[in-house]
Amino acid sequence: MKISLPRREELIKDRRKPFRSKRRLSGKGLPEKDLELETLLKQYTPPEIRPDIRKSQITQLSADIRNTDYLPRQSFMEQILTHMSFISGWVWLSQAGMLFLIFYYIFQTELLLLNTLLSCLAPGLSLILVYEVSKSFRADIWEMEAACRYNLAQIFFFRLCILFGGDILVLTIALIAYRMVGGLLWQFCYYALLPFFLTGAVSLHVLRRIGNRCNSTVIAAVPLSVGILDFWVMPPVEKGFSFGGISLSKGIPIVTMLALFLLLYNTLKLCTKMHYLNENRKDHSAWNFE
Amino acid sequence: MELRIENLTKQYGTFIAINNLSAVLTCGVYGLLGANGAGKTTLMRLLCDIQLPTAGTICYDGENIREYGDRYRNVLGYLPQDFGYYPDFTAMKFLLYMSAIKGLSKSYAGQRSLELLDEVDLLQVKDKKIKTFSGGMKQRLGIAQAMLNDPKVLILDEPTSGLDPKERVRFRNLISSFSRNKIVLLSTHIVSDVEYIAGNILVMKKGEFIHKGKPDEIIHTVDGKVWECRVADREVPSLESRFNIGNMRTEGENIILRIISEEKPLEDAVNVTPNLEDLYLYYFSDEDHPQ
Repeated sequence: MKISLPRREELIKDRRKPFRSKRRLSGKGLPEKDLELETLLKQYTPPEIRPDIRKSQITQLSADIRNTDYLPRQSFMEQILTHMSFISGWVWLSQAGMLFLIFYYIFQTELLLLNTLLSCLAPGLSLILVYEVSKSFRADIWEMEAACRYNLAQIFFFRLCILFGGDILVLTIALIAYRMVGGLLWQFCYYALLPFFLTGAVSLHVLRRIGNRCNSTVIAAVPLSVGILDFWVMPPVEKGFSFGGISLSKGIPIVTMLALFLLLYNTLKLCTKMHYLNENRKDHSAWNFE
Repeated sequence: MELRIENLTKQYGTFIAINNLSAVLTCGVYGLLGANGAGKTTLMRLLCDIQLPTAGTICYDGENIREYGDRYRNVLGYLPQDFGYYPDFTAMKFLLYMSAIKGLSKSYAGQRSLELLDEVDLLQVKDKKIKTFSGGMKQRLGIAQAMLNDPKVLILDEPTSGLDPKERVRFRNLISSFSRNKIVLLSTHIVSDVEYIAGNILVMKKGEFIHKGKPDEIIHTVDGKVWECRVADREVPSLESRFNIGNMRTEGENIILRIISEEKPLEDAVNVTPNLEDLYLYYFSDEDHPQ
Protein backbone atom coordinates (compact mmCIF):
# COMPACT_ATOMS: atom_id res chain seq x y z
CA MET A 1 0.00 0.00 0.00
CA LYS A 2 1.28 3.39 -0.90
CA ILE A 3 1.32 5.95 1.90
CA SER A 4 0.68 9.50 0.79
CA LEU A 5 2.77 11.99 2.67
CA PRO A 6 1.73 15.67 2.91
CA ARG A 7 3.47 17.87 0.43
CA ARG A 8 6.12 20.35 1.58
CA GLU A 9 3.95 23.37 0.59
CA GLU A 10 1.04 22.03 2.68
CA LEU A 11 3.27 21.63 5.72
CA ILE A 12 4.59 25.18 5.43
CA LYS A 13 1.03 26.49 5.03
CA ASP A 14 -0.07 24.62 8.20
CA ARG A 15 2.83 26.04 10.17
CA ARG A 16 1.73 29.55 9.26
CA LYS A 17 -1.74 29.05 10.78
CA PRO A 18 -2.04 31.06 14.01
CA PHE A 19 -2.52 29.08 17.24
CA ARG A 20 -6.13 29.06 18.42
CA SER A 21 -7.00 27.81 21.90
CA LYS A 22 -9.99 25.53 21.98
CA ARG A 23 -10.91 26.92 25.45
CA ARG A 24 -13.14 29.96 25.37
CA LEU A 25 -11.63 33.00 27.03
CA SER A 26 -13.65 35.40 29.17
CA GLY A 27 -13.41 39.16 28.98
CA LYS A 28 -10.78 39.24 31.75
CA GLY A 29 -8.59 36.84 29.86
CA LEU A 30 -9.41 33.93 32.22
CA PRO A 31 -10.94 30.74 30.86
CA GLU A 32 -14.65 30.54 31.66
CA LYS A 33 -14.25 27.56 33.96
CA ASP A 34 -11.72 29.45 36.09
CA LEU A 35 -14.04 32.43 36.22
CA GLU A 36 -16.85 30.21 37.46
CA LEU A 37 -14.57 28.83 40.14
CA GLU A 38 -13.51 32.32 41.16
CA THR A 39 -17.14 33.44 41.51
CA LEU A 40 -17.96 30.31 43.51
CA LEU A 41 -15.05 30.86 45.92
CA LYS A 42 -16.06 34.49 46.44
CA GLN A 43 -19.41 33.33 47.82
CA TYR A 44 -17.69 31.69 50.79
CA THR A 45 -15.53 33.36 53.42
CA PRO A 46 -12.37 31.47 54.36
CA PRO A 47 -12.48 29.79 57.80
CA GLU A 48 -10.73 31.53 60.69
CA ILE A 49 -7.61 29.66 61.76
CA ARG A 50 -7.20 29.55 65.51
CA PRO A 51 -3.97 31.38 66.46
CA ASP A 52 -2.61 28.44 68.49
CA ILE A 53 -3.10 26.04 65.58
CA ARG A 54 -1.55 28.55 63.19
CA LYS A 55 1.46 28.98 65.50
CA SER A 56 1.98 25.23 65.99
CA GLN A 57 1.68 24.64 62.25
CA ILE A 58 4.30 27.32 61.53
CA THR A 59 6.63 25.82 64.18
CA GLN A 60 6.15 22.36 62.69
CA LEU A 61 6.77 23.59 59.16
CA SER A 62 9.87 25.51 60.22
CA ALA A 63 11.25 22.38 61.92
CA ASP A 64 10.51 20.35 58.79
CA ILE A 65 12.31 22.92 56.64
CA ARG A 66 15.31 22.79 58.99
CA ASN A 67 15.36 19.00 58.76
CA THR A 68 15.12 19.06 54.99
CA ASP A 69 17.96 21.56 54.74
CA TYR A 70 20.66 19.25 55.99
CA LEU A 71 23.47 21.55 54.91
CA PRO A 72 22.47 24.77 56.64
CA ARG A 73 24.53 27.93 56.75
CA GLN A 74 26.02 28.22 60.20
CA SER A 75 27.08 31.33 62.01
CA PHE A 76 30.62 31.64 63.35
CA MET A 77 29.41 31.16 66.93
CA GLU A 78 27.45 28.03 65.97
CA GLN A 79 30.57 26.59 64.38
CA ILE A 80 32.71 27.44 67.39
CA LEU A 81 30.20 25.84 69.76
CA THR A 82 30.00 22.74 67.58
CA HIS A 83 33.78 22.37 67.51
CA MET A 84 34.05 23.06 71.22
CA SER A 85 32.12 19.90 71.98
CA PHE A 86 34.81 17.88 70.19
CA ILE A 87 37.82 19.37 72.00
CA SER A 88 39.47 16.71 74.16
CA GLY A 89 38.51 16.84 77.83
CA TRP A 90 42.13 16.73 78.97
CA VAL A 91 42.70 20.20 77.48
CA TRP A 92 40.25 21.84 79.89
CA LEU A 93 41.55 19.70 82.77
CA SER A 94 45.16 20.70 82.06
CA GLN A 95 44.29 24.39 81.86
CA ALA A 96 42.35 24.14 85.11
CA GLY A 97 45.28 22.26 86.65
CA MET A 98 47.66 25.07 85.68
CA LEU A 99 45.41 27.68 87.23
CA PHE A 100 45.20 25.59 90.38
CA LEU A 101 49.02 25.37 90.55
CA ILE A 102 49.38 29.14 90.12
CA PHE A 103 46.80 29.86 92.82
CA TYR A 104 48.28 27.24 95.12
CA TYR A 105 51.76 28.76 95.02
CA ILE A 106 50.98 32.43 94.49
CA PHE A 107 50.11 33.20 98.09
CA GLN A 108 52.64 30.81 99.63
CA THR A 109 55.90 31.35 97.87
CA GLU A 110 58.14 34.29 97.06
CA LEU A 111 57.94 36.08 93.72
CA LEU A 112 61.17 34.64 92.34
CA LEU A 113 59.91 31.06 92.63
CA LEU A 114 56.55 32.09 91.25
CA ASN A 115 58.27 33.63 88.24
CA THR A 116 60.13 30.39 87.63
CA LEU A 117 56.85 28.49 87.87
CA LEU A 118 55.20 30.84 85.39
CA SER A 119 58.08 30.58 82.93
CA CYS A 120 57.72 26.80 82.97
CA LEU A 121 53.92 26.74 82.76
CA ALA A 122 53.65 29.22 79.88
CA PRO A 123 55.30 26.89 77.31
CA GLY A 124 53.07 24.16 78.77
CA LEU A 125 50.02 26.18 77.70
CA SER A 126 51.45 26.32 74.17
CA LEU A 127 52.11 22.61 74.27
CA ILE A 128 48.47 21.92 75.13
CA LEU A 129 47.34 24.21 72.33
CA VAL A 130 49.54 22.79 69.60
CA TYR A 131 49.05 19.21 70.76
CA GLU A 132 45.28 19.55 70.47
CA VAL A 133 45.39 21.44 67.18
CA SER A 134 47.69 18.84 65.63
CA LYS A 135 45.57 15.85 66.66
CA SER A 136 44.32 15.45 63.10
CA PHE A 137 47.86 14.60 61.97
CA ARG A 138 48.73 12.57 65.02
CA ALA A 139 45.59 10.44 64.73
CA ASP A 140 46.07 10.21 60.95
CA ILE A 141 42.57 11.47 60.28
CA TRP A 142 43.61 14.64 58.45
CA GLU A 143 42.93 13.23 55.00
CA MET A 144 39.28 12.53 55.84
CA GLU A 145 38.91 15.95 57.42
CA ALA A 146 40.53 17.72 54.49
CA ALA A 147 37.81 16.40 52.15
CA CYS A 148 34.99 17.83 54.27
CA ARG A 149 33.05 21.08 53.90
CA TYR A 150 35.15 22.71 56.61
CA ASN A 151 38.57 21.67 55.42
CA LEU A 152 41.66 21.21 57.55
CA ALA A 153 42.65 24.88 57.54
CA GLN A 154 39.20 25.87 58.75
CA ILE A 155 39.17 23.12 61.38
CA PHE A 156 42.53 24.40 62.66
CA PHE A 157 41.09 27.89 62.79
CA PHE A 158 38.10 26.83 64.88
CA ARG A 159 40.30 24.84 67.23
CA LEU A 160 42.76 27.71 67.62
CA CYS A 161 39.95 30.17 68.36
CA ILE A 162 38.61 27.92 71.11
CA LEU A 163 42.00 27.10 72.59
CA PHE A 164 43.30 30.67 72.45
CA GLY A 165 40.11 31.68 74.24
CA GLY A 166 40.87 29.21 77.04
CA ASP A 167 44.50 30.32 77.21
CA ILE A 168 43.58 34.01 77.37
CA LEU A 169 41.22 33.22 80.24
CA VAL A 170 43.95 31.33 82.13
CA LEU A 171 46.53 34.06 81.53
CA THR A 172 44.12 36.85 82.55
CA ILE A 173 43.28 35.13 85.83
CA ALA A 174 46.98 34.45 86.41
CA LEU A 175 47.79 38.13 85.71
CA ILE A 176 45.19 39.34 88.19
CA ALA A 177 46.56 37.00 90.86
CA TYR A 178 50.13 38.01 90.00
CA ARG A 179 49.34 41.69 90.39
CA MET A 180 47.60 40.98 93.70
CA VAL A 181 50.84 39.68 95.21
CA GLY A 182 52.84 42.67 93.95
CA GLY A 183 54.19 41.37 90.64
CA LEU A 184 54.83 43.92 87.91
CA LEU A 185 53.20 43.88 84.48
CA TRP A 186 56.47 43.70 82.56
CA GLN A 187 57.57 40.79 84.78
CA PHE A 188 54.38 38.94 83.87
CA CYS A 189 55.10 39.67 80.22
CA TYR A 190 58.63 38.38 80.65
CA TYR A 191 57.84 35.19 82.55
CA ALA A 192 54.44 34.23 81.15
CA LEU A 193 53.39 36.00 77.96
CA LEU A 194 56.70 36.05 76.13
CA PRO A 195 57.42 32.30 76.52
CA PHE A 196 53.78 31.52 75.65
CA PHE A 197 53.76 33.62 72.49
CA LEU A 198 57.21 32.52 71.35
CA THR A 199 56.68 28.79 71.86
CA GLY A 200 53.25 29.05 70.29
CA ALA A 201 54.65 30.85 67.24
CA VAL A 202 57.52 28.40 66.76
CA SER A 203 55.32 25.33 67.33
CA LEU A 204 52.69 26.51 64.84
CA HIS A 205 55.44 27.27 62.35
CA VAL A 206 56.84 23.76 62.76
CA LEU A 207 53.36 22.28 62.45
CA ARG A 208 52.75 24.16 59.21
CA ARG A 209 56.10 23.14 57.78
CA ILE A 210 55.95 19.42 58.57
CA GLY A 211 52.25 18.97 57.81
CA ASN A 212 51.16 15.37 57.72
CA ARG A 213 54.55 14.13 58.96
CA CYS A 214 53.85 15.67 62.34
CA ASN A 215 54.09 13.43 65.39
CA SER A 216 53.88 13.78 69.16
CA THR A 217 57.65 13.96 69.71
CA VAL A 218 58.13 16.85 67.30
CA ILE A 219 55.15 18.70 68.73
CA ALA A 220 56.38 18.30 72.31
CA ALA A 221 60.01 19.14 71.53
CA VAL A 222 59.59 22.91 71.00
CA PRO A 223 57.64 23.81 74.18
CA LEU A 224 59.71 21.46 76.31
CA SER A 225 63.00 22.96 75.08
CA VAL A 226 61.71 26.47 75.70
CA GLY A 227 60.44 25.48 79.13
CA ILE A 228 63.82 24.06 80.15
CA LEU A 229 65.62 27.06 78.67
CA ASP A 230 63.33 29.44 80.55
CA PHE A 231 64.01 27.68 83.82
CA TRP A 232 67.77 28.23 83.57
CA VAL A 233 68.09 31.41 81.56
CA MET A 234 65.30 33.80 82.47
CA PRO A 235 65.99 34.60 86.16
CA PRO A 236 69.73 35.38 85.65
CA VAL A 237 68.97 37.46 82.53
CA GLU A 238 66.43 39.53 84.48
CA LYS A 239 69.12 40.50 87.02
CA GLY A 240 71.93 41.40 84.66
CA PHE A 241 70.13 42.68 81.58
CA SER A 242 71.33 45.85 79.89
CA PHE A 243 70.94 46.59 76.21
CA GLY A 244 71.95 50.06 75.06
CA GLY A 245 70.42 51.67 78.08
CA ILE A 246 66.96 50.11 77.51
CA SER A 247 65.62 48.71 80.75
CA LEU A 248 63.69 45.47 80.92
CA SER A 249 60.52 47.25 81.98
CA LYS A 250 60.51 49.12 78.67
CA GLY A 251 62.05 46.51 76.39
CA ILE A 252 60.03 43.49 77.44
CA PRO A 253 56.57 44.82 76.47
CA ILE A 254 57.94 45.68 73.02
CA VAL A 255 59.49 42.22 72.62
CA THR A 256 56.26 40.64 73.88
CA MET A 257 54.26 42.55 71.29
CA LEU A 258 56.64 41.34 68.59
CA ALA A 259 56.22 37.77 69.83
CA LEU A 260 52.43 38.21 69.76
CA PHE A 261 52.67 39.45 66.20
CA LEU A 262 54.76 36.41 65.31
CA LEU A 263 52.20 34.11 66.89
CA LEU A 264 49.33 35.75 65.02
CA TYR A 265 51.28 35.61 61.77
CA ASN A 266 51.91 31.87 62.15
CA THR A 267 48.30 31.29 63.17
CA LEU A 268 47.15 33.07 60.03
CA LYS A 269 49.54 31.10 57.84
CA LEU A 270 48.44 27.80 59.36
CA CYS A 271 44.77 28.63 58.86
CA THR A 272 45.14 29.69 55.26
CA LYS A 273 47.33 26.87 54.02
CA MET A 274 45.01 24.62 52.09
CA HIS A 275 47.17 21.60 51.45
CA TYR A 276 49.09 19.95 54.24
CA LEU A 277 50.38 16.99 52.34
CA ASN A 278 54.12 16.99 52.47
CA GLU A 279 54.98 16.58 48.85
CA ASN A 280 58.74 16.31 49.08
CA ARG A 281 58.61 12.59 48.56
CA LYS A 282 61.76 10.74 49.40
CA ASP A 283 60.35 7.29 48.75
CA HIS A 284 60.83 7.12 44.98
CA SER A 285 62.40 3.70 45.31
CA ALA A 286 59.15 2.37 46.80
CA TRP A 287 57.53 2.71 43.39
CA ASN A 288 58.06 -0.83 42.36
CA PHE A 289 57.74 -0.57 38.60
CA GLU A 290 60.87 1.45 38.01
CA MET B 1 26.59 15.38 36.48
CA GLU B 2 30.14 14.74 35.40
CA LEU B 3 33.65 14.86 36.72
CA ARG B 4 36.05 15.80 33.97
CA ILE B 5 39.76 15.15 34.30
CA GLU B 6 41.78 17.05 31.72
CA ASN B 7 45.49 16.55 31.08
CA LEU B 8 46.11 15.94 34.76
CA THR B 9 49.75 15.65 35.76
CA LYS B 10 51.32 15.29 39.16
CA GLN B 11 55.04 15.42 39.54
CA TYR B 12 57.15 14.86 42.66
CA GLY B 13 60.46 16.44 41.84
CA THR B 14 61.56 14.65 38.71
CA PHE B 15 59.22 11.74 39.27
CA ILE B 16 55.92 11.76 37.40
CA ALA B 17 53.22 10.05 39.44
CA ILE B 18 50.29 11.04 37.21
CA ASN B 19 51.04 11.57 33.58
CA ASN B 20 48.65 13.64 31.49
CA LEU B 21 45.47 11.79 32.48
CA SER B 22 42.18 12.61 30.85
CA ALA B 23 38.80 11.04 31.52
CA VAL B 24 35.17 11.90 31.98
CA LEU B 25 33.33 10.23 34.84
CA THR B 26 29.53 10.28 34.82
CA CYS B 27 27.03 8.52 37.08
CA GLY B 28 28.03 4.96 37.86
CA VAL B 29 30.62 2.87 39.63
CA TYR B 30 34.17 3.09 38.32
CA GLY B 31 36.75 0.56 39.40
CA LEU B 32 40.32 1.78 39.43
CA LEU B 33 42.74 -1.07 38.92
CA GLY B 34 46.46 -0.78 39.21
CA ALA B 35 49.49 -2.09 41.01
CA ASN B 36 51.09 -0.46 44.01
CA GLY B 37 52.59 2.84 42.95
CA ALA B 38 50.55 3.13 39.77
CA GLY B 39 49.30 6.51 40.98
CA LYS B 40 45.83 5.51 42.21
CA THR B 41 46.06 7.20 45.59
CA THR B 42 47.59 10.33 44.10
CA LEU B 43 44.75 10.50 41.58
CA MET B 44 42.18 10.10 44.34
CA ARG B 45 43.79 12.81 46.43
CA LEU B 46 43.79 15.10 43.44
CA LEU B 47 40.12 14.35 42.86
CA CYS B 48 39.41 15.26 46.48
CA ASP B 49 41.42 18.49 46.21
CA ILE B 50 43.72 17.33 49.00
CA GLN B 51 46.70 17.59 46.71
CA LEU B 52 47.46 20.11 44.00
CA PRO B 53 48.09 18.97 40.43
CA THR B 54 51.28 20.05 38.71
CA ALA B 55 49.28 20.59 35.54
CA GLY B 56 45.78 19.99 34.25
CA THR B 57 42.35 20.48 35.75
CA ILE B 58 39.53 18.58 37.38
CA CYS B 59 36.10 20.01 36.72
CA TYR B 60 32.85 19.11 38.40
CA ASP B 61 29.89 20.03 36.20
CA GLY B 62 32.10 22.29 34.16
CA GLU B 63 33.67 24.21 37.06
CA ASN B 64 37.18 23.67 38.39
CA ILE B 65 36.97 21.92 41.76
CA ARG B 66 39.50 24.33 43.23
CA GLU B 67 37.15 27.20 42.51
CA TYR B 68 34.14 25.15 43.58
CA GLY B 69 35.75 24.91 47.04
CA ASP B 70 33.40 23.93 49.83
CA ARG B 71 30.49 23.55 47.39
CA TYR B 72 32.43 20.68 45.83
CA ARG B 73 33.34 19.23 49.21
CA ASN B 74 29.63 19.34 50.14
CA VAL B 75 28.96 16.73 47.48
CA LEU B 76 32.11 14.73 48.12
CA GLY B 77 32.57 11.58 50.18
CA TYR B 78 36.07 10.23 50.64
CA LEU B 79 37.53 7.18 52.29
CA PRO B 80 41.35 7.31 52.27
CA GLN B 81 43.56 4.26 52.03
CA ASP B 82 45.29 4.70 55.38
CA PHE B 83 43.44 6.48 58.09
CA GLY B 84 43.10 6.59 61.82
CA TYR B 85 40.58 7.74 64.37
CA TYR B 86 40.56 9.75 67.54
CA PRO B 87 40.92 6.82 69.90
CA ASP B 88 38.77 8.28 72.67
CA PHE B 89 35.80 8.76 70.33
CA THR B 90 32.94 6.30 70.22
CA ALA B 91 31.58 5.24 66.82
CA MET B 92 28.57 7.53 67.24
CA LYS B 93 30.66 10.49 68.40
CA PHE B 94 33.00 10.01 65.47
CA LEU B 95 30.14 10.13 62.98
CA LEU B 96 28.70 13.19 64.72
CA TYR B 97 32.11 14.83 64.55
CA MET B 98 32.46 14.06 60.84
CA SER B 99 28.91 15.35 60.33
CA ALA B 100 29.85 18.58 62.11
CA ILE B 101 32.84 19.19 59.87
CA LYS B 102 30.76 18.25 56.85
CA GLY B 103 28.42 21.04 57.98
CA LEU B 104 25.36 18.83 58.44
CA SER B 105 22.55 19.98 60.69
CA LYS B 106 22.48 18.34 64.12
CA SER B 107 19.09 16.72 63.73
CA TYR B 108 19.98 15.28 60.34
CA ALA B 109 23.42 14.16 61.57
CA GLY B 110 22.01 12.17 64.48
CA GLN B 111 19.43 10.43 62.34
CA ARG B 112 21.80 9.76 59.43
CA SER B 113 24.55 8.46 61.72
CA LEU B 114 22.20 5.89 63.24
CA GLU B 115 20.99 4.83 59.79
CA LEU B 116 24.53 4.35 58.53
CA LEU B 117 25.70 2.55 61.67
CA ASP B 118 22.84 0.17 61.09
CA GLU B 119 23.77 -0.26 57.43
CA VAL B 120 27.38 -1.11 58.26
CA ASP B 121 26.30 -3.34 61.13
CA LEU B 122 27.81 -1.27 63.92
CA LEU B 123 24.65 -0.09 65.63
CA GLN B 124 25.13 -2.42 68.58
CA VAL B 125 28.58 -1.00 69.28
CA LYS B 126 27.78 2.66 68.60
CA ASP B 127 28.72 3.68 72.13
CA LYS B 128 31.97 1.71 72.26
CA LYS B 129 35.30 3.45 71.82
CA ILE B 130 36.89 3.05 68.41
CA LYS B 131 40.16 1.88 69.95
CA THR B 132 38.38 -1.36 70.89
CA PHE B 133 37.30 -2.00 67.29
CA SER B 134 38.82 -4.57 64.94
CA GLY B 135 40.33 -3.53 61.59
CA GLY B 136 37.18 -4.54 59.70
CA MET B 137 34.94 -2.57 62.06
CA LYS B 138 37.11 0.52 61.64
CA GLN B 139 36.94 0.11 57.87
CA ARG B 140 33.15 -0.11 57.98
CA LEU B 141 33.02 3.00 60.12
CA GLY B 142 35.20 4.73 57.52
CA ILE B 143 32.75 3.74 54.81
CA ALA B 144 29.89 5.09 56.91
CA GLN B 145 31.55 8.48 57.37
CA ALA B 146 32.11 8.79 53.63
CA MET B 147 28.37 8.43 53.05
CA LEU B 148 27.19 10.82 55.75
CA ASN B 149 26.44 13.75 53.47
CA ASP B 150 24.84 11.55 50.81
CA PRO B 151 27.64 12.51 48.40
CA LYS B 152 27.23 12.88 44.67
CA VAL B 153 30.89 11.98 44.20
CA LEU B 154 32.14 9.09 46.31
CA ILE B 155 35.83 8.26 46.26
CA LEU B 156 36.93 5.10 48.01
CA ASP B 157 40.58 4.15 48.21
CA GLU B 158 40.95 0.44 48.95
CA PRO B 159 37.64 0.27 50.81
CA THR B 160 37.49 -3.49 51.17
CA SER B 161 40.95 -4.07 52.57
CA GLY B 162 40.61 -5.60 56.01
CA LEU B 163 37.07 -6.82 55.43
CA ASP B 164 36.24 -10.51 55.58
CA PRO B 165 34.37 -12.08 52.60
CA LYS B 166 30.96 -11.66 54.22
CA GLU B 167 31.64 -8.02 54.95
CA ARG B 168 32.93 -7.52 51.42
CA VAL B 169 29.72 -8.87 49.93
CA ARG B 170 27.75 -6.61 52.25
CA PHE B 171 29.91 -3.66 51.22
CA ARG B 172 29.51 -4.42 47.52
CA ASN B 173 25.73 -4.48 47.91
CA LEU B 174 25.85 -1.25 49.88
CA ILE B 175 27.83 0.49 47.16
CA SER B 176 25.58 -0.88 44.43
CA SER B 177 22.47 0.35 46.19
CA PHE B 178 24.11 3.67 46.87
CA SER B 179 25.54 4.33 43.44
CA ARG B 180 22.34 5.38 41.67
CA ASN B 181 22.74 8.92 40.33
CA LYS B 182 26.22 9.19 41.79
CA ILE B 183 29.79 8.99 40.64
CA VAL B 184 31.57 6.28 42.61
CA LEU B 185 35.27 5.71 42.10
CA LEU B 186 36.81 2.86 43.98
CA SER B 187 40.33 1.60 43.82
CA THR B 188 41.14 -1.86 44.96
CA HIS B 189 43.54 -4.72 44.59
CA ILE B 190 40.70 -7.16 45.08
CA VAL B 191 39.77 -7.77 41.48
CA SER B 192 36.52 -9.58 42.27
CA ASP B 193 35.14 -6.48 44.00
CA VAL B 194 35.57 -4.46 40.85
CA GLU B 195 34.23 -7.28 38.71
CA TYR B 196 30.99 -7.44 40.68
CA ILE B 197 30.06 -3.83 41.14
CA ALA B 198 31.94 -1.63 38.69
CA GLY B 199 30.16 -0.72 35.49
CA ASN B 200 33.35 0.82 34.16
CA ILE B 201 36.97 0.04 34.76
CA LEU B 202 40.00 2.26 34.58
CA VAL B 203 43.26 0.38 34.38
CA MET B 204 46.17 2.45 35.55
CA LYS B 205 49.85 1.83 35.04
CA LYS B 206 52.78 4.14 35.62
CA GLY B 207 50.48 7.12 36.14
CA GLU B 208 48.50 6.59 32.94
CA PHE B 209 45.20 4.99 32.02
CA ILE B 210 46.11 2.08 29.82
CA HIS B 211 42.48 1.01 29.43
CA LYS B 212 39.10 2.55 30.06
CA GLY B 213 35.78 0.89 29.47
CA LYS B 214 33.23 -1.65 30.51
CA PRO B 215 34.57 -4.86 32.13
CA ASP B 216 33.64 -7.03 29.14
CA GLU B 217 35.30 -4.68 26.67
CA ILE B 218 38.48 -4.53 28.70
CA ILE B 219 38.61 -8.25 29.28
CA HIS B 220 38.42 -8.75 25.50
CA THR B 221 41.82 -7.08 25.21
CA VAL B 222 43.36 -10.27 26.58
CA ASP B 223 41.30 -12.61 24.41
CA GLY B 224 43.44 -15.44 23.12
CA LYS B 225 46.12 -14.85 25.71
CA VAL B 226 44.82 -17.08 28.49
CA TRP B 227 45.54 -20.80 28.32
CA GLU B 228 44.84 -23.84 30.39
CA CYS B 229 46.96 -26.96 30.27
CA ARG B 230 47.42 -30.17 32.21
CA VAL B 231 50.99 -30.86 33.24
CA ALA B 232 52.93 -33.18 35.49
CA ASP B 233 54.06 -31.96 38.88
CA ARG B 234 57.74 -31.88 37.89
CA GLU B 235 57.13 -29.58 34.90
CA VAL B 236 55.63 -26.77 37.00
CA PRO B 237 58.88 -25.06 38.16
CA SER B 238 60.21 -24.68 34.62
CA LEU B 239 56.86 -23.38 33.34
CA GLU B 240 56.64 -20.96 36.26
CA SER B 241 59.99 -19.47 35.34
CA ARG B 242 59.02 -19.10 31.66
CA PHE B 243 55.37 -18.03 31.86
CA ASN B 244 52.98 -15.88 33.82
CA ILE B 245 50.97 -18.42 35.81
CA GLY B 246 47.54 -17.24 36.87
CA ASN B 247 46.16 -20.21 38.69
CA MET B 248 47.17 -23.69 39.65
CA ARG B 249 44.98 -26.57 40.82
CA THR B 250 45.70 -30.23 41.40
CA GLU B 251 43.59 -32.86 39.67
CA GLY B 252 44.69 -36.37 40.51
CA GLU B 253 48.32 -36.87 39.46
CA ASN B 254 48.38 -33.74 37.30
CA ILE B 255 48.22 -30.04 37.78
CA ILE B 256 45.98 -27.72 35.78
CA LEU B 257 47.75 -24.48 35.04
CA ARG B 258 46.18 -21.25 33.89
CA ILE B 259 48.83 -19.45 31.89
CA ILE B 260 48.72 -15.89 30.61
CA SER B 261 50.86 -15.76 27.49
CA GLU B 262 50.89 -14.14 24.07
CA GLU B 263 51.80 -17.47 22.48
CA LYS B 264 50.59 -20.98 23.04
CA PRO B 265 52.73 -22.17 25.94
CA LEU B 266 52.40 -25.93 25.33
CA GLU B 267 51.18 -28.20 22.57
CA ASP B 268 48.11 -29.34 24.49
CA ALA B 269 47.29 -25.91 25.96
CA VAL B 270 43.69 -24.83 25.40
CA ASN B 271 42.58 -21.25 24.93
CA VAL B 272 40.09 -20.24 27.64
CA THR B 273 37.83 -17.27 28.28
CA PRO B 274 39.71 -14.60 30.20
CA ASN B 275 38.46 -12.89 33.32
CA LEU B 276 39.41 -9.67 35.07
CA GLU B 277 42.03 -11.39 37.19
CA ASP B 278 43.75 -12.62 34.04
CA LEU B 279 43.70 -9.08 32.71
CA TYR B 280 45.27 -7.83 35.92
CA LEU B 281 47.98 -10.46 35.74
CA TYR B 282 48.59 -9.74 32.08
CA TYR B 283 49.27 -6.06 32.73
CA PHE B 284 50.75 -6.18 36.20
CA SER B 285 52.55 -9.52 36.41
CA ASP B 286 55.89 -7.78 36.80
CA GLU B 287 54.59 -5.65 39.68
CA ASP B 288 52.43 -7.08 42.44
CA HIS B 289 49.73 -9.69 42.79
CA PRO B 290 46.00 -9.31 43.31
CA GLN B 291 44.32 -10.92 46.28
